[in-house]
Amino acid sequence: MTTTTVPAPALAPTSPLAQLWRFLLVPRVSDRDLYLRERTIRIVALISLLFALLASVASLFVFRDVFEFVSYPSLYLIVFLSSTAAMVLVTRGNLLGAGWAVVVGWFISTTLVAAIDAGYPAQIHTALLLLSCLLAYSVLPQRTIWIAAAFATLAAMLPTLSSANPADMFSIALTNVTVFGLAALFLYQQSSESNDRLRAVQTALKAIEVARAEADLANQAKSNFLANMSHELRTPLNAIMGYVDILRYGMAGELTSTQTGLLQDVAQNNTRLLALINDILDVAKIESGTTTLLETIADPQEVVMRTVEALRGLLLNKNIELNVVFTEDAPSVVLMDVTKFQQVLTNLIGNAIKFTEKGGVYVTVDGNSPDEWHVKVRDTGIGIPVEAKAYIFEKFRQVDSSTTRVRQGTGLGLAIVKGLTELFGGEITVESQPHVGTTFTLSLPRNRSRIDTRSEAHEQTSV
Amino acid sequence: MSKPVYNFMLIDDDIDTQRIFRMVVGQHPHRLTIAGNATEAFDILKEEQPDVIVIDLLLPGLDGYQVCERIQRDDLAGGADMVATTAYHSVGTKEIVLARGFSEFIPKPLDSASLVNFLEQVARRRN
Repeated sequence: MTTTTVPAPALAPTSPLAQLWRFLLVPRVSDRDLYLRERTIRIVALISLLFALLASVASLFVFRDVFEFVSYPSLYLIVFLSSTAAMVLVTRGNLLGAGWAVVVGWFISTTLVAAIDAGYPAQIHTALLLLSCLLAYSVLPQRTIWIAAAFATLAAMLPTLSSANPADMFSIALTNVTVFGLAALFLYQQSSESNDRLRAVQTALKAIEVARAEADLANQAKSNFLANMSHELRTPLNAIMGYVDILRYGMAGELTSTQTGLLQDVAQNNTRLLALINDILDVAKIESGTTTLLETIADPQEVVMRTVEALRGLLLNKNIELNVVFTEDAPSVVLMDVTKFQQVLTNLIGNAIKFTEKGGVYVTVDGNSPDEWHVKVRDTGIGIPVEAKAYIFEKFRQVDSSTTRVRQGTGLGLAIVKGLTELFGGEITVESQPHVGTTFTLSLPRNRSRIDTRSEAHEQTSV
Repeated sequence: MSKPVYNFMLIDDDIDTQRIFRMVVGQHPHRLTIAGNATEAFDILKEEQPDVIVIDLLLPGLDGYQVCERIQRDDLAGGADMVATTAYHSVGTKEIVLARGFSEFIPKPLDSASLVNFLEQVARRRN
Protein backbone atom coordinates (compact mmCIF):
# COMPACT_ATOMS: atom_id res chain seq x y z
CA MET A 1 0.00 0.00 0.00
CA THR A 2 1.25 3.45 -0.72
CA THR A 3 0.94 6.60 1.26
CA THR A 4 1.32 10.00 -0.31
CA THR A 5 2.37 12.92 1.78
CA VAL A 6 1.53 16.38 0.57
CA PRO A 7 4.43 18.76 1.27
CA ALA A 8 3.48 21.88 3.17
CA PRO A 9 3.41 24.85 0.80
CA ALA A 10 6.55 26.91 1.16
CA LEU A 11 5.82 30.20 2.93
CA ALA A 12 6.56 33.17 0.72
CA PRO A 13 8.91 35.60 2.45
CA THR A 14 6.87 38.60 3.64
CA SER A 15 8.04 41.96 4.83
CA PRO A 16 7.02 43.10 8.35
CA LEU A 17 4.89 45.80 6.72
CA ALA A 18 2.98 43.22 4.67
CA GLN A 19 2.53 41.14 7.80
CA LEU A 20 1.12 44.15 9.68
CA TRP A 21 -1.15 44.92 6.73
CA ARG A 22 -2.45 41.36 6.77
CA PHE A 23 -2.89 41.42 10.54
CA LEU A 24 -4.87 44.65 10.47
CA LEU A 25 -6.94 44.36 7.32
CA VAL A 26 -7.34 40.79 6.13
CA PRO A 27 -10.48 39.17 7.58
CA ARG A 28 -10.23 35.85 9.39
CA VAL A 29 -13.72 34.53 8.60
CA SER A 30 -14.28 32.42 5.50
CA ASP A 31 -18.03 32.99 5.02
CA ARG A 32 -18.48 35.38 2.08
CA ASP A 33 -21.16 37.49 3.76
CA LEU A 34 -19.28 37.87 7.01
CA TYR A 35 -16.05 38.46 5.10
CA LEU A 36 -17.36 41.70 3.61
CA ARG A 37 -18.62 42.85 6.99
CA GLU A 38 -15.35 42.12 8.73
CA ARG A 39 -13.39 43.83 5.96
CA THR A 40 -15.54 46.99 6.17
CA ILE A 41 -15.22 47.11 9.96
CA ARG A 42 -11.46 46.75 9.72
CA ILE A 43 -11.05 49.45 7.09
CA VAL A 44 -13.41 51.95 8.75
CA ALA A 45 -11.98 51.36 12.22
CA LEU A 46 -8.44 51.75 10.97
CA ILE A 47 -9.18 54.96 9.07
CA SER A 48 -11.08 56.41 12.08
CA LEU A 49 -8.20 55.47 14.35
CA LEU A 50 -5.67 57.16 12.10
CA PHE A 51 -7.96 60.19 11.80
CA ALA A 52 -8.32 60.48 15.58
CA LEU A 53 -4.57 60.24 16.12
CA LEU A 54 -3.66 62.71 13.38
CA ALA A 55 -6.41 65.15 14.37
CA SER A 56 -5.36 65.04 18.05
CA VAL A 57 -1.78 65.80 17.13
CA ALA A 58 -2.83 68.50 14.68
CA SER A 59 -5.18 70.16 17.18
CA LEU A 60 -2.27 70.57 19.63
CA PHE A 61 -0.45 72.74 17.10
CA VAL A 62 -3.09 74.29 14.87
CA PHE A 63 -6.11 74.92 17.08
CA ARG A 64 -4.32 75.51 20.39
CA ASP A 65 -5.23 79.19 20.60
CA VAL A 66 -8.75 78.98 19.25
CA PHE A 67 -11.38 78.59 21.96
CA GLU A 68 -14.03 76.90 19.78
CA PHE A 69 -11.79 73.97 19.15
CA VAL A 70 -11.15 73.11 22.78
CA SER A 71 -14.03 70.67 22.71
CA TYR A 72 -12.67 68.80 19.74
CA PRO A 73 -10.20 66.58 21.68
CA SER A 74 -13.15 64.92 23.43
CA LEU A 75 -14.52 64.09 19.96
CA TYR A 76 -11.17 62.65 18.92
CA LEU A 77 -11.06 60.66 22.12
CA ILE A 78 -14.45 59.10 21.36
CA VAL A 79 -13.41 58.24 17.80
CA PHE A 80 -10.12 56.86 19.09
CA LEU A 81 -11.78 54.73 21.77
CA SER A 82 -14.55 53.39 19.53
CA SER A 83 -12.21 52.47 16.68
CA THR A 84 -9.68 50.90 19.05
CA ALA A 85 -12.47 48.89 20.64
CA ALA A 86 -13.62 47.84 17.15
CA MET A 87 -10.11 46.72 16.18
CA VAL A 88 -9.63 44.75 19.38
CA LEU A 89 -13.06 43.11 19.08
CA VAL A 90 -12.61 42.23 15.42
CA THR A 91 -9.21 40.67 16.14
CA ARG A 92 -10.87 38.54 18.79
CA GLY A 93 -13.50 37.45 16.28
CA ASN A 94 -16.39 39.40 17.85
CA LEU A 95 -17.91 40.84 14.68
CA LEU A 96 -21.15 42.02 16.28
CA GLY A 97 -19.40 43.97 19.05
CA ALA A 98 -16.93 45.47 16.60
CA GLY A 99 -19.73 46.52 14.27
CA TRP A 100 -21.61 48.27 17.07
CA ALA A 101 -18.44 49.96 18.31
CA VAL A 102 -17.85 51.44 14.85
CA VAL A 103 -21.46 52.50 14.38
CA VAL A 104 -21.94 54.02 17.83
CA GLY A 105 -18.61 55.85 17.52
CA TRP A 106 -19.69 57.36 14.23
CA PHE A 107 -23.13 58.40 15.41
CA ILE A 108 -21.85 59.99 18.60
CA SER A 109 -19.06 61.85 16.85
CA THR A 110 -21.28 63.17 14.05
CA THR A 111 -23.83 64.35 16.60
CA LEU A 112 -21.09 65.80 18.77
CA VAL A 113 -19.67 67.81 15.89
CA ALA A 114 -23.04 69.37 15.30
CA ALA A 115 -23.52 70.08 19.02
CA ILE A 116 -20.08 71.64 19.47
CA ASP A 117 -20.06 73.79 16.36
CA ALA A 118 -23.01 76.17 16.24
CA GLY A 119 -22.29 77.24 12.66
CA TYR A 120 -22.24 73.69 11.41
CA PRO A 121 -24.50 73.32 8.33
CA ALA A 122 -27.44 71.02 8.90
CA GLN A 123 -27.06 69.52 5.42
CA ILE A 124 -23.58 68.25 6.21
CA HIS A 125 -24.90 66.81 9.45
CA THR A 126 -27.64 65.03 7.55
CA ALA A 127 -25.16 63.75 4.97
CA LEU A 128 -22.81 62.45 7.67
CA LEU A 129 -25.68 60.73 9.45
CA LEU A 130 -26.76 59.11 6.19
CA LEU A 131 -23.19 57.89 5.76
CA SER A 132 -23.38 56.49 9.29
CA CYS A 133 -26.58 54.72 8.35
CA LEU A 134 -24.93 53.14 5.30
CA LEU A 135 -22.01 52.15 7.49
CA ALA A 136 -24.40 50.57 9.97
CA TYR A 137 -26.08 48.76 7.10
CA SER A 138 -22.81 47.27 5.93
CA VAL A 139 -21.24 46.33 9.26
CA LEU A 140 -24.21 45.20 11.36
CA PRO A 141 -26.20 42.01 10.99
CA GLN A 142 -29.27 42.73 8.93
CA ARG A 143 -31.75 41.84 11.66
CA THR A 144 -30.46 44.68 13.88
CA ILE A 145 -30.55 47.34 11.16
CA TRP A 146 -33.73 49.00 12.45
CA ILE A 147 -32.05 49.70 15.81
CA ALA A 148 -29.36 51.57 13.92
CA ALA A 149 -32.00 53.46 11.97
CA ALA A 150 -33.78 54.53 15.17
CA PHE A 151 -30.46 55.57 16.56
CA ALA A 152 -29.85 57.72 13.46
CA THR A 153 -33.24 59.40 13.71
CA LEU A 154 -32.58 60.25 17.33
CA ALA A 155 -29.14 61.57 16.51
CA ALA A 156 -30.61 63.66 13.71
CA MET A 157 -32.93 65.45 16.14
CA LEU A 158 -30.36 66.19 18.81
CA PRO A 159 -28.53 69.20 17.27
CA THR A 160 -31.81 70.94 16.54
CA LEU A 161 -32.35 71.28 20.30
CA SER A 162 -29.45 73.72 20.56
CA SER A 163 -30.72 75.94 17.76
CA ALA A 164 -31.95 79.38 18.84
CA ASN A 165 -34.69 79.77 16.27
CA PRO A 166 -37.76 77.54 16.99
CA ALA A 167 -38.83 77.66 13.33
CA ASP A 168 -35.35 76.46 12.27
CA MET A 169 -35.50 73.81 14.91
CA PHE A 170 -38.83 72.52 13.66
CA SER A 171 -37.96 72.45 9.96
CA ILE A 172 -34.58 70.80 10.55
CA ALA A 173 -36.14 68.22 12.82
CA LEU A 174 -38.89 67.50 10.31
CA THR A 175 -36.44 67.13 7.41
CA ASN A 176 -34.16 64.89 9.40
CA VAL A 177 -36.90 62.67 10.73
CA THR A 178 -38.41 62.30 7.24
CA VAL A 179 -35.06 61.54 5.63
CA PHE A 180 -34.11 58.99 8.29
CA GLY A 181 -37.54 57.49 8.48
CA LEU A 182 -37.41 56.83 4.75
CA ALA A 183 -33.81 55.63 4.95
CA ALA A 184 -34.70 53.28 7.77
CA LEU A 185 -37.66 51.91 5.86
CA PHE A 186 -35.59 51.51 2.69
CA LEU A 187 -32.73 49.77 4.49
CA TYR A 188 -35.09 47.51 6.39
CA GLN A 189 -36.87 46.48 3.22
CA GLN A 190 -33.58 45.94 1.42
CA SER A 191 -32.20 43.83 4.19
CA SER A 192 -35.33 41.72 4.58
CA GLU A 193 -35.57 41.18 0.81
CA SER A 194 -31.96 40.22 0.40
CA ASN A 195 -32.31 38.10 3.51
CA ASP A 196 -35.21 36.27 1.93
CA ARG A 197 -33.29 35.78 -1.30
CA LEU A 198 -30.22 34.65 0.57
CA ARG A 199 -32.27 32.28 2.67
CA ALA A 200 -33.95 30.82 -0.43
CA VAL A 201 -30.61 30.25 -2.13
CA GLN A 202 -29.16 28.75 1.03
CA THR A 203 -32.14 26.44 1.44
CA ALA A 204 -31.85 25.30 -2.17
CA LEU A 205 -28.12 24.72 -1.82
CA LYS A 206 -28.63 22.78 1.37
CA ALA A 207 -31.31 20.65 -0.28
CA ILE A 208 -28.98 19.85 -3.16
CA GLU A 209 -26.19 18.98 -0.76
CA VAL A 210 -28.46 16.75 1.30
CA ALA A 211 -29.77 15.04 -1.84
CA ARG A 212 -26.27 14.41 -3.10
CA ALA A 213 -25.07 13.13 0.25
CA GLU A 214 -28.08 10.83 0.39
CA ALA A 215 -27.41 9.56 -3.13
CA ASP A 216 -23.74 8.96 -2.27
CA LEU A 217 -24.75 7.20 0.88
CA ALA A 218 -27.29 5.05 -0.95
CA ASN A 219 -24.72 4.14 -3.58
CA GLN A 220 -22.17 3.36 -0.89
CA ALA A 221 -24.76 1.27 0.95
CA LYS A 222 -25.56 -0.61 -2.25
CA SER A 223 -21.88 -1.33 -2.90
CA ASN A 224 -21.31 -2.39 0.69
CA PHE A 225 -24.36 -4.61 0.50
CA LEU A 226 -23.11 -6.23 -2.70
CA ALA A 227 -19.65 -6.74 -1.24
CA ASN A 228 -21.05 -8.35 1.91
CA MET A 229 -23.54 -10.41 -0.06
CA SER A 230 -20.95 -11.89 -2.36
CA HIS A 231 -18.82 -12.78 0.64
CA GLU A 232 -21.81 -14.40 2.31
CA LEU A 233 -22.78 -16.28 -0.85
CA ARG A 234 -19.40 -17.99 -0.94
CA THR A 235 -19.97 -19.85 2.33
CA PRO A 236 -22.95 -21.95 1.14
CA LEU A 237 -21.36 -22.24 -2.29
CA ASN A 238 -18.29 -23.72 -0.59
CA ALA A 239 -20.49 -26.44 0.88
CA ILE A 240 -22.32 -27.10 -2.41
CA MET A 241 -19.13 -27.30 -4.45
CA GLY A 242 -17.45 -29.45 -1.84
CA TYR A 243 -20.28 -32.01 -1.68
CA VAL A 244 -20.68 -32.11 -5.48
CA ASP A 245 -16.96 -32.79 -5.83
CA ILE A 246 -17.11 -35.53 -3.20
CA LEU A 247 -19.95 -37.15 -5.13
CA ARG A 248 -18.51 -36.81 -8.62
CA TYR A 249 -15.01 -37.98 -7.65
CA GLY A 250 -16.59 -41.10 -6.18
CA MET A 251 -15.52 -40.36 -2.62
CA ALA A 252 -19.02 -41.30 -1.42
CA GLY A 253 -19.47 -44.42 -3.51
CA GLU A 254 -19.59 -45.49 -7.16
CA LEU A 255 -21.86 -43.56 -9.55
CA THR A 256 -23.40 -44.41 -12.92
CA SER A 257 -22.04 -42.50 -15.89
CA THR A 258 -25.33 -40.54 -16.17
CA GLN A 259 -25.01 -39.45 -12.55
CA THR A 260 -21.39 -38.43 -13.05
CA GLY A 261 -22.38 -36.47 -16.14
CA LEU A 262 -25.12 -34.61 -14.35
CA LEU A 263 -22.82 -33.78 -11.45
CA GLN A 264 -20.32 -32.53 -14.02
CA ASP A 265 -22.97 -30.07 -15.23
CA VAL A 266 -23.73 -29.01 -11.66
CA ALA A 267 -20.03 -28.40 -11.06
CA GLN A 268 -19.75 -26.31 -14.23
CA ASN A 269 -22.65 -24.13 -13.18
CA ASN A 270 -21.12 -23.80 -9.73
CA THR A 271 -17.94 -22.51 -11.32
CA ARG A 272 -19.88 -19.95 -13.34
CA LEU A 273 -21.81 -18.88 -10.27
CA LEU A 274 -18.56 -18.47 -8.37
CA ALA A 275 -17.08 -16.36 -11.18
CA LEU A 276 -20.16 -14.14 -11.10
CA ILE A 277 -19.95 -13.72 -7.33
CA ASN A 278 -16.26 -12.86 -7.56
CA ASP A 279 -16.91 -10.28 -10.28
CA ILE A 280 -19.75 -8.66 -8.35
CA LEU A 281 -17.49 -8.45 -5.33
CA ASP A 282 -14.76 -6.80 -7.38
CA VAL A 283 -17.13 -4.25 -8.92
CA ALA A 284 -18.71 -3.48 -5.56
CA LYS A 285 -15.32 -2.98 -3.96
CA ILE A 286 -14.13 -0.71 -6.76
CA GLU A 287 -17.35 1.33 -6.62
CA SER A 288 -17.38 1.69 -2.87
CA GLY A 289 -13.77 2.86 -3.01
CA THR A 290 -12.56 0.11 -0.70
CA THR A 291 -10.18 -1.40 -3.23
CA THR A 292 -6.64 -0.60 -2.15
CA LEU A 293 -3.56 -0.95 -4.27
CA LEU A 294 -0.62 -3.06 -3.12
CA GLU A 295 2.06 -1.50 -5.29
CA THR A 296 5.47 -3.05 -5.69
CA ILE A 297 8.35 -2.42 -8.05
CA ALA A 298 7.97 -4.99 -10.80
CA ASP A 299 9.14 -5.87 -14.29
CA PRO A 300 6.05 -5.46 -16.48
CA GLN A 301 7.56 -7.59 -19.26
CA GLU A 302 7.91 -10.52 -16.89
CA VAL A 303 4.39 -10.00 -15.52
CA VAL A 304 2.87 -9.81 -19.01
CA MET A 305 4.70 -12.98 -20.09
CA ARG A 306 3.55 -14.84 -16.99
CA THR A 307 -0.07 -13.77 -17.52
CA VAL A 308 -0.04 -14.72 -21.20
CA GLU A 309 1.46 -18.13 -20.48
CA ALA A 310 -1.25 -18.81 -17.91
CA LEU A 311 -3.88 -18.10 -20.56
CA ARG A 312 -2.48 -20.45 -23.21
CA GLY A 313 -4.90 -23.09 -21.99
CA LEU A 314 -7.76 -21.10 -23.55
CA LEU A 315 -6.26 -21.74 -27.02
CA LEU A 316 -6.65 -25.52 -26.71
CA ASN A 317 -9.65 -25.99 -29.00
CA LYS A 318 -8.94 -22.97 -31.15
CA ASN A 319 -6.85 -22.52 -34.22
CA ILE A 320 -5.54 -19.03 -33.45
CA GLU A 321 -2.19 -17.64 -32.35
CA LEU A 322 -1.28 -15.63 -29.28
CA ASN A 323 1.78 -13.40 -29.67
CA VAL A 324 3.54 -10.96 -27.37
CA VAL A 325 5.89 -8.22 -28.56
CA PHE A 326 7.91 -5.86 -26.40
CA THR A 327 9.19 -2.78 -28.21
CA GLU A 328 12.69 -1.53 -27.42
CA ASP A 329 11.41 1.26 -25.25
CA ALA A 330 9.14 -1.03 -23.19
CA PRO A 331 9.85 -0.34 -19.52
CA SER A 332 11.48 -3.00 -17.39
CA VAL A 333 10.70 -1.36 -14.07
CA VAL A 334 7.38 0.14 -12.98
CA LEU A 335 5.55 0.57 -9.71
CA MET A 336 2.28 -1.34 -9.84
CA ASP A 337 -0.17 -3.67 -8.17
CA VAL A 338 0.86 -6.86 -9.94
CA THR A 339 -2.17 -8.98 -8.98
CA LYS A 340 -4.71 -6.40 -10.10
CA PHE A 341 -2.79 -5.62 -13.28
CA GLN A 342 -2.85 -9.34 -14.06
CA GLN A 343 -6.60 -9.35 -13.48
CA VAL A 344 -7.01 -6.54 -16.03
CA LEU A 345 -4.78 -8.25 -18.56
CA THR A 346 -6.43 -11.64 -18.04
CA ASN A 347 -9.82 -10.08 -18.72
CA LEU A 348 -8.68 -8.33 -21.90
CA ILE A 349 -6.74 -11.27 -23.36
CA GLY A 350 -9.38 -13.78 -22.27
CA ASN A 351 -12.07 -11.73 -24.03
CA ALA A 352 -9.94 -11.39 -27.14
CA ILE A 353 -9.42 -15.15 -27.34
CA LYS A 354 -13.09 -15.82 -26.66
CA PHE A 355 -14.29 -13.65 -29.55
CA THR A 356 -11.66 -14.62 -32.13
CA GLU A 357 -12.15 -17.63 -34.38
CA LYS A 358 -9.37 -17.11 -36.92
CA GLY A 359 -6.16 -15.13 -36.99
CA GLY A 360 -4.92 -14.36 -33.53
CA VAL A 361 -4.47 -12.20 -30.47
CA TYR A 362 -1.48 -9.84 -30.42
CA VAL A 363 -0.20 -8.20 -27.27
CA THR A 364 2.22 -5.26 -27.60
CA VAL A 365 3.98 -3.53 -24.73
CA ASP A 366 5.64 -0.18 -25.41
CA GLY A 367 6.92 2.78 -23.45
CA ASN A 368 7.23 5.54 -26.03
CA SER A 369 6.34 8.25 -23.51
CA PRO A 370 8.36 9.38 -20.49
CA ASP A 371 5.46 9.10 -18.05
CA GLU A 372 3.38 6.28 -19.47
CA TRP A 373 3.64 2.80 -20.79
CA HIS A 374 1.11 1.02 -22.93
CA VAL A 375 -0.30 -2.44 -23.35
CA LYS A 376 -2.22 -3.07 -26.57
CA VAL A 377 -4.37 -6.17 -26.90
CA ARG A 378 -5.35 -6.55 -30.57
CA ASP A 379 -7.45 -9.36 -31.95
CA THR A 380 -8.77 -10.32 -35.37
CA GLY A 381 -12.13 -11.34 -33.99
CA ILE A 382 -15.73 -10.39 -34.63
CA GLY A 383 -15.26 -6.81 -33.45
CA ILE A 384 -17.64 -4.50 -31.64
CA PRO A 385 -20.53 -2.75 -33.48
CA VAL A 386 -20.15 1.02 -33.57
CA GLU A 387 -23.28 1.63 -31.51
CA ALA A 388 -22.06 -0.74 -28.80
CA LYS A 389 -18.76 1.03 -28.21
CA ALA A 390 -20.40 3.57 -25.96
CA TYR A 391 -21.54 1.08 -23.38
CA ILE A 392 -19.15 -1.86 -23.39
CA PHE A 393 -17.48 -0.60 -20.20
CA GLU A 394 -20.78 -0.45 -18.36
CA LYS A 395 -21.92 -3.07 -15.91
CA PHE A 396 -24.02 -5.97 -17.19
CA ARG A 397 -23.99 -4.60 -20.74
CA GLN A 398 -22.91 -7.10 -23.33
CA VAL A 399 -23.12 -6.73 -27.04
CA ASP A 400 -26.35 -8.31 -28.26
CA SER A 401 -25.80 -12.04 -28.21
CA SER A 402 -28.34 -12.86 -30.90
CA THR A 403 -26.40 -11.21 -33.71
CA THR A 404 -22.75 -11.19 -32.84
CA ARG A 405 -21.45 -12.75 -29.70
CA VAL A 406 -22.13 -15.91 -27.86
CA ARG A 407 -23.20 -14.80 -24.43
CA GLN A 408 -20.62 -15.93 -21.95
CA GLY A 409 -19.13 -14.52 -18.79
CA THR A 410 -20.73 -12.12 -16.40
CA GLY A 411 -20.89 -8.84 -18.28
CA LEU A 412 -18.79 -7.32 -15.54
CA GLY A 413 -15.32 -7.99 -16.93
CA LEU A 414 -14.83 -4.72 -18.79
CA ALA A 415 -16.40 -2.69 -15.97
CA ILE A 416 -13.79 -4.19 -13.64
CA VAL A 417 -11.04 -3.53 -16.19
CA LYS A 418 -12.05 0.11 -16.49
CA GLY A 419 -12.46 0.57 -12.73
CA LEU A 420 -9.08 -0.94 -11.93
CA THR A 421 -7.31 0.95 -14.73
CA GLU A 422 -8.64 4.21 -13.35
CA LEU A 423 -7.55 3.18 -9.88
CA PHE A 424 -4.04 2.69 -11.29
CA GLY A 425 -4.21 6.28 -12.56
CA GLY A 426 -4.37 5.03 -16.14
CA GLU A 427 -6.82 4.98 -18.98
CA ILE A 428 -8.32 2.44 -21.36
CA THR A 429 -9.48 3.04 -24.91
CA VAL A 430 -10.96 0.79 -27.55
CA GLU A 431 -10.90 0.79 -31.33
CA SER A 432 -12.88 -1.74 -33.29
CA GLN A 433 -14.19 -2.62 -36.69
CA PRO A 434 -16.84 -5.31 -37.01
CA HIS A 435 -15.49 -8.52 -38.54
CA VAL A 436 -11.96 -7.06 -38.69
CA GLY A 437 -10.92 -6.89 -35.09
CA THR A 438 -10.66 -4.99 -31.83
CA THR A 439 -7.79 -3.23 -30.08
CA PHE A 440 -7.87 -2.31 -26.42
CA THR A 441 -5.14 0.10 -25.34
CA LEU A 442 -4.13 0.48 -21.71
CA SER A 443 -2.16 3.61 -20.84
CA LEU A 444 -0.57 3.24 -17.43
CA PRO A 445 1.58 5.61 -15.36
CA ARG A 446 5.22 4.68 -14.88
CA ASN A 447 5.30 6.22 -11.39
CA ARG A 448 8.96 7.05 -11.92
CA SER A 449 9.31 9.61 -9.17
CA ARG A 450 7.79 7.23 -6.65
CA ILE A 451 10.07 4.42 -7.82
CA ASP A 452 13.06 6.70 -7.16
CA THR A 453 11.92 7.57 -3.65
CA ARG A 454 11.27 3.91 -2.95
CA SER A 455 14.69 2.76 -4.16
CA GLU A 456 16.32 5.55 -2.17
CA ALA A 457 14.45 4.46 0.93
CA HIS A 458 15.49 0.92 0.18
CA GLU A 459 19.16 1.90 -0.17
CA GLN A 460 19.02 3.79 3.07
CA THR A 461 17.60 0.87 4.98
CA SER A 462 20.03 -1.59 3.47
CA VAL A 463 23.10 0.52 4.28
CA MET B 1 8.46 -46.70 -0.97
CA SER B 2 5.16 -46.06 0.68
CA LYS B 3 3.70 -42.55 0.74
CA PRO B 4 4.44 -40.66 3.96
CA VAL B 5 1.52 -40.23 6.33
CA TYR B 6 0.91 -36.73 7.68
CA ASN B 7 -0.99 -35.28 10.57
CA PHE B 8 -3.41 -32.52 9.49
CA MET B 9 -5.53 -30.30 11.66
CA LEU B 10 -8.53 -28.12 10.77
CA ILE B 11 -9.77 -25.23 12.92
CA ASP B 12 -13.13 -24.15 11.48
CA ASP B 13 -16.60 -23.74 12.99
CA ASP B 14 -18.37 -24.40 9.67
CA ILE B 15 -19.91 -27.90 9.86
CA ASP B 16 -19.92 -28.32 6.07
CA THR B 17 -16.24 -27.54 5.78
CA GLN B 18 -15.55 -30.00 8.61
CA ARG B 19 -17.49 -32.76 6.81
CA ILE B 20 -15.89 -32.05 3.45
CA PHE B 21 -12.43 -32.17 5.06
CA ARG B 22 -13.28 -35.41 6.83
CA MET B 23 -14.51 -37.06 3.63
CA VAL B 24 -11.78 -35.76 1.34
CA VAL B 25 -8.86 -36.40 3.69
CA GLY B 26 -10.56 -39.71 4.62
CA GLN B 27 -9.69 -41.04 1.17
CA HIS B 28 -6.03 -40.97 2.19
CA PRO B 29 -4.09 -42.58 5.03
CA HIS B 30 -3.41 -39.19 6.68
CA ARG B 31 -4.54 -38.31 10.15
CA LEU B 32 -7.01 -35.43 10.65
CA THR B 33 -8.12 -33.69 13.83
CA ILE B 34 -10.81 -31.02 13.83
CA ALA B 35 -11.46 -28.14 16.22
CA GLY B 36 -14.47 -25.83 16.05
CA ASN B 37 -12.86 -22.92 17.89
CA ALA B 38 -9.64 -21.65 19.44
CA THR B 39 -10.15 -23.24 22.89
CA GLU B 40 -10.78 -26.68 21.40
CA ALA B 41 -7.78 -26.21 19.15
CA PHE B 42 -5.44 -25.36 22.03
CA ASP B 43 -6.71 -28.43 23.95
CA ILE B 44 -6.11 -30.72 21.00
CA LEU B 45 -2.65 -29.25 20.47
CA LYS B 46 -1.62 -30.51 23.94
CA GLU B 47 -1.86 -34.07 22.60
CA GLU B 48 -1.36 -33.73 18.85
CA GLN B 49 1.65 -32.75 16.78
CA PRO B 50 0.14 -31.73 13.40
CA ASP B 51 2.32 -31.10 10.36
CA VAL B 52 -0.12 -28.64 8.84
CA ILE B 53 -2.90 -26.65 10.52
CA VAL B 54 -5.66 -25.17 8.37
CA ILE B 55 -7.28 -22.22 10.14
CA ASP B 56 -10.46 -20.44 9.10
CA LEU B 57 -10.03 -16.69 9.57
CA LEU B 58 -13.56 -16.12 10.88
CA LEU B 59 -13.92 -18.10 14.09
CA PRO B 60 -16.11 -17.56 17.14
CA GLY B 61 -14.00 -16.09 19.95
CA LEU B 62 -10.39 -15.63 18.87
CA ASP B 63 -10.27 -15.16 15.11
CA GLY B 64 -7.92 -16.99 12.76
CA TYR B 65 -5.21 -14.34 12.91
CA GLN B 66 -5.22 -14.38 16.72
CA VAL B 67 -5.11 -18.19 16.82
CA CYS B 68 -2.14 -18.16 14.46
CA GLU B 69 -0.40 -15.52 16.56
CA ARG B 70 -1.00 -17.44 19.81
CA ILE B 71 0.23 -20.72 18.36
CA GLN B 72 3.41 -19.02 17.16
CA ARG B 73 3.98 -16.98 20.30
CA ASP B 74 3.49 -19.85 22.75
CA ASP B 75 5.00 -22.41 20.36
CA LEU B 76 1.93 -24.62 20.74
CA ALA B 77 2.41 -26.66 17.57
CA GLY B 78 6.14 -27.22 17.34
CA GLY B 79 6.44 -24.98 14.31
CA ALA B 80 3.70 -26.63 12.24
CA ASP B 81 2.85 -24.81 9.01
CA MET B 82 -0.29 -22.77 9.25
CA VAL B 83 -2.59 -22.36 6.26
CA ALA B 84 -5.33 -19.73 6.29
CA THR B 85 -8.70 -20.25 4.65
CA THR B 86 -11.77 -18.05 4.34
CA ALA B 87 -14.77 -17.35 2.14
CA TYR B 88 -14.27 -13.63 2.82
CA HIS B 89 -11.41 -12.99 0.46
CA SER B 90 -10.68 -10.81 -2.50
CA VAL B 91 -7.65 -9.81 -4.51
CA GLY B 92 -4.83 -9.16 -2.06
CA THR B 93 -6.09 -11.34 0.79
CA LYS B 94 -3.26 -13.81 0.21
CA GLU B 95 -0.63 -11.11 0.65
CA ILE B 96 -2.24 -9.90 3.87
CA VAL B 97 -2.47 -13.43 5.26
CA LEU B 98 1.14 -14.24 4.40
CA ALA B 99 2.29 -11.03 6.07
CA ARG B 100 0.58 -12.07 9.30
CA GLY B 101 2.31 -15.37 9.95
CA PHE B 102 0.54 -17.93 7.77
CA SER B 103 2.62 -19.82 5.27
CA GLU B 104 -0.16 -20.48 2.73
CA PHE B 105 -3.68 -19.43 1.82
CA ILE B 106 -6.56 -21.52 0.38
CA PRO B 107 -9.61 -19.55 -0.70
CA LYS B 108 -13.09 -20.95 -0.15
CA PRO B 109 -14.84 -22.60 -1.98
CA LEU B 110 -12.21 -25.28 -1.49
CA ASP B 111 -11.14 -27.36 -4.45
CA SER B 112 -11.69 -30.92 -3.22
CA ALA B 113 -9.69 -32.40 -6.09
CA SER B 114 -6.46 -30.66 -5.18
CA LEU B 115 -6.91 -30.11 -1.44
CA VAL B 116 -5.04 -33.15 -0.13
CA ASN B 117 -2.32 -32.80 -2.73
CA PHE B 118 -1.81 -29.20 -1.64
CA LEU B 119 -1.65 -30.07 2.06
CA GLU B 120 0.83 -32.86 1.32
CA GLN B 121 3.02 -30.41 -0.54
CA VAL B 122 3.04 -27.99 2.38
CA ALA B 123 3.88 -30.84 4.79
CA ARG B 124 6.61 -32.20 2.53
CA ARG B 125 8.23 -28.81 2.17
CA ARG B 126 8.49 -28.58 5.91
CA ASN B 127 9.93 -32.05 6.49
